[in-house]
Amino acid sequence: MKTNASRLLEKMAIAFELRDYEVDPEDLSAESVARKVAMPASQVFKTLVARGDRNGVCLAVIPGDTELDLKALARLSGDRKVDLVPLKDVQPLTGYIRGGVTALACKKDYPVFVDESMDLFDRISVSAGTRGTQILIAPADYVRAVRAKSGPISRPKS
Amino acid sequence: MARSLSPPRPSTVPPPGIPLDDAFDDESGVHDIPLPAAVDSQIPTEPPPSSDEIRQVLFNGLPTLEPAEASTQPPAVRAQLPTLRDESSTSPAPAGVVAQLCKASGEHVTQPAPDSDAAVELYTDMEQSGALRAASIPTSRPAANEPPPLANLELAAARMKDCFGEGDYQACLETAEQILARNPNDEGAGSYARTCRRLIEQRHAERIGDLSAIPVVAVSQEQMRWLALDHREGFLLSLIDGHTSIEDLCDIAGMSRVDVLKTIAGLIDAEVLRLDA
Repeated sequence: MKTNASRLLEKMAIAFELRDYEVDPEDLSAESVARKVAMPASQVFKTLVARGDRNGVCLAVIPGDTELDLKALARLSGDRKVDLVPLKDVQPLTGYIRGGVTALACKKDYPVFVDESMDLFDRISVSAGTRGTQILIAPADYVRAVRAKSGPISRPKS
Repeated sequence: MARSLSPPRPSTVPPPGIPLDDAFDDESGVHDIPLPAAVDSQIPTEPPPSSDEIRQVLFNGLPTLEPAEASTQPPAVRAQLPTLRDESSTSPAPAGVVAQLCKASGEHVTQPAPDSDAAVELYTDMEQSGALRAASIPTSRPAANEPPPLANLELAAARMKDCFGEGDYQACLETAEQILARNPNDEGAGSYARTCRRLIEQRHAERIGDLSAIPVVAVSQEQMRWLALDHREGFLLSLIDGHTSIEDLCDIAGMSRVDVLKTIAGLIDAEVLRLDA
């Protein structure tokens, strides 16, 4: 299934692979998606929408089995404080629904911050912009496509 | 004939059949016990070698090695064998050895101190030919945690990436830490180290399961004495009171979270701990 995200990658001549999975509305977690696309959760990245007190909305892309370190993100984004946006604001801000958020072909060009661990893998998985489809892509290509800044912004789930 | 036992402790108990009064020597205060015939025949009757015989062996040189013995030597040593034979046939034994042997035979050393020039010459020959180096044992070796030299940093970085790709996060972490010890500003190594720590921690957490579970010691105090516990395990066991969860242990132990989880997981695997929900 083609999405705006995949079209963007095609336009940029970036190699990628689409992988579909069965959606469980009761469990949209990245770990669940990782199991379904047969990849380690550390290689399946989820995209969170945050808002900094100085620089406004940004996207944080972190491994599926971690949680966002808000202080680390604030340091990286140049904000004093960062919070996740409420769920009801996600679609108006990004154009994507929960479980299908991606930084590719977003409604606006928000700054994107990816966890440093992304660079360590040969291939990662991110949402294709819809529930049920993942994009498998080389980290360097993804960083280039979304013009992301890399840093340590994740921590193990507590 | 009754013979006293010459080594120092004569028996004070006579064998059965010998009256105690007959065997006791009033002057020495010990029993003079006859040896059985079988034991008496085993005592060597050959006289000890005289000092002349000892000197002859010492000053005529070492016996020549048989070909079979020589063939078992390593090549570097075997190459020196003719020299050794020649030198040893003319060089005297060290003076200290002569003195010790003469003392053992009850005679004073009357020979002049042997000339050490031959020994020095032999040593010099062996040193020049590399035989000593071949047989030498290194006196120092690099420490296990010593950071790699700068020239090997690229190799270490490649190894770090390989280990990560293979999923060997522990080896990757160790390599990354070695690189960081040499260059603390290496962002790549720092990234690998942080990621590996997180992944290792997750692995141990998965092994344990529910981190809110409360660990309980599953062995008795007596059994615990026989367990080969290290200081980390002992310390964590001392914190386990039947009320503190694993998550709380991570907070209060003062150790890194990954170390606590790794140690707890090991103790659960060893059935020293069990988890209460």
